[in-house]
Amino acid sequence: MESNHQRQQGQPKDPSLQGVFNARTRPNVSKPSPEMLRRRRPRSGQMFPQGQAGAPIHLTGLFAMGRRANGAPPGRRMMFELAVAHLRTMFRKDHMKINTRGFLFALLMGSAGCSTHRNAHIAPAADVDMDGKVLARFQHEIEEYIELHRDLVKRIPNVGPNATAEEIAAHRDKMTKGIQAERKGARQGDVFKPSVEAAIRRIIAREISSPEGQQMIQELKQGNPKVEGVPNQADPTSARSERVLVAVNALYNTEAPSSSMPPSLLLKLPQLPDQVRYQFVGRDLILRDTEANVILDFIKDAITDRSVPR
Amino acid sequence: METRLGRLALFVVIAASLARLPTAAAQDLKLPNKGAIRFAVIGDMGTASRAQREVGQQMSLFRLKFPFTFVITVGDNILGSESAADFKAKFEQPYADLLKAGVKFYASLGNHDNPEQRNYAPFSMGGVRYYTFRPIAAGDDKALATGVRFFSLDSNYLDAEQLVWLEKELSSSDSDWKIAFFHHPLYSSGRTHGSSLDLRKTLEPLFLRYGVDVVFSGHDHYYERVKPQQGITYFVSGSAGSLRKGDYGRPQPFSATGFDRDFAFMLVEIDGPKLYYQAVSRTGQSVDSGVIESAPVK
Repeated sequence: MESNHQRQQGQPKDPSLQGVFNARTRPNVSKPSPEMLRRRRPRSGQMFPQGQAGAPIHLTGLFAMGRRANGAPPGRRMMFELAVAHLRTMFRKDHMKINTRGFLFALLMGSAGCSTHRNAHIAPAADVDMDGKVLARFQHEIEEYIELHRDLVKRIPNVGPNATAEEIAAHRDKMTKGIQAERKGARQGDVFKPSVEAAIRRIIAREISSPEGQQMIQELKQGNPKVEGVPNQADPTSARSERVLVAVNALYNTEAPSSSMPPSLLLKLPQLPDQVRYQFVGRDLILRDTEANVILDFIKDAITDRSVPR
Repeated sequence: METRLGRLALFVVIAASLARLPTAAAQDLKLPNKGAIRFAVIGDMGTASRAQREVGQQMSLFRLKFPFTFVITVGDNILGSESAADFKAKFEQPYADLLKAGVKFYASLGNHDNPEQRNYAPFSMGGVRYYTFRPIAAGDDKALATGVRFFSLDSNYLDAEQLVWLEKELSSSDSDWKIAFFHHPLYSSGRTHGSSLDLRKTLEPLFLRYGVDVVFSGHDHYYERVKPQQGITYFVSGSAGSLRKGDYGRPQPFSATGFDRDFAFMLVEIDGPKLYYQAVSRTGQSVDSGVIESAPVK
């Protein structure tokens, strides 16, 4: 009997060689066949386990690198594009199984195109429906902020992965004070410029009004400080609410929980560097530096759904 | 008369206190206790409450019978403020005996956790929000147990980069047991939160495609075991320091069993193709137990 692995390989490959997040920005949600459920595992020793949408996993990885290469300096981007072009040729010629040297070349070029681009602070998700100029402006603002953040880290070194509680707390306090001092005078709209804000509002409205919008609403309520409290120490079967002041340069209340970001929505927004993230406080979308615990900017009433408290 | 009443009151107070204290005689172990991989699961615990400390004591007492070598946390490790003193009161003190005995903790982040917890050495996160590890087999601190791999995810912020990472790691793992743990449950009967449907839509296809066997989550403050969903068994273990009594009031059709009357934690043992589990209450009583068989690797 034909194995599941063989069947997957026999499927036509995506002609545009799109990887899992390139095509739909989310994994394939098709249900597995009963046969697949029985097996459910890639065959041991499989050289190129299948990625989503029929693309081999090494291509998925390459396209993940591709997202990193977006916005890279032209030279590096060119190397990445060269790698993709080379792989396309290999597929056309069906050399994939035998041309190890060619594959290694493509991999090397692809890696070179993005590996030195670890400083790419913001990579647009493929599905981000945002005008190129608007997105570029947002990228620019974020990169400027990250530059500031990095300058601060030079003076306040990171604690590393084996830190004590004291070191973490001391580092966070210094970062908070440092960012607040550096951004003194920052105002709403400095990062979320009006055009960026309009685009983000449009994306959120579209996603929330989709058939799966209510699922997203339910998830972003979870941990949302306007909805959820913090269990009490004296009686952890009860909870108290913690207020979060939504203001530029305000400390995010360390006692308060953080809202979940529904993956479906997150994948439609411009991707952010690790230091900052989107969150909701009530209906407001905030941009928060998690290391410094400071609110960088916010969009008031980004969600209009009335079931989410203001 | 007053003296008698005073004595009676004193007796009631002492009796009530003793009844709440975990005792060595109370531990009701249902696991075979012979597997190479033994661990505990806790979630939503960091409240510094008396209940959290009692669960911690109960874990230590169970460890005398069932020597688990590590603990996985399903998030909300430190609830509320996160000062240095909080890390001590909400983590180091409640689990002092376990930490002293060399039990390792592997954490995942909840919606009450600051992502900077990734740098906290006792959480073994290596400075990253999501990671994978293979546990060390009991009694052998050198050899790695090859058949089991854990995947700790950050379900608060499941961005594209994390999903690409997860697919890469899952697809390249040929472990017999693939176990994922993270905060938000894909299946839960909790009246407060319930199932995270958007998260399920994103993660479940990957779990199915790459053969994840078991998933541990928290977030809803009780214990629940879900009937296998397309071959995957899901647990909610979110009551090691917080509790919502009555939250399991309306079990969903996918639910196998639940427990919301007291705080709880889990003990797990893997012996070849079998994974044994037991949910234990703060008083040491077994509230659920059973076995899961891994799908054979072909």
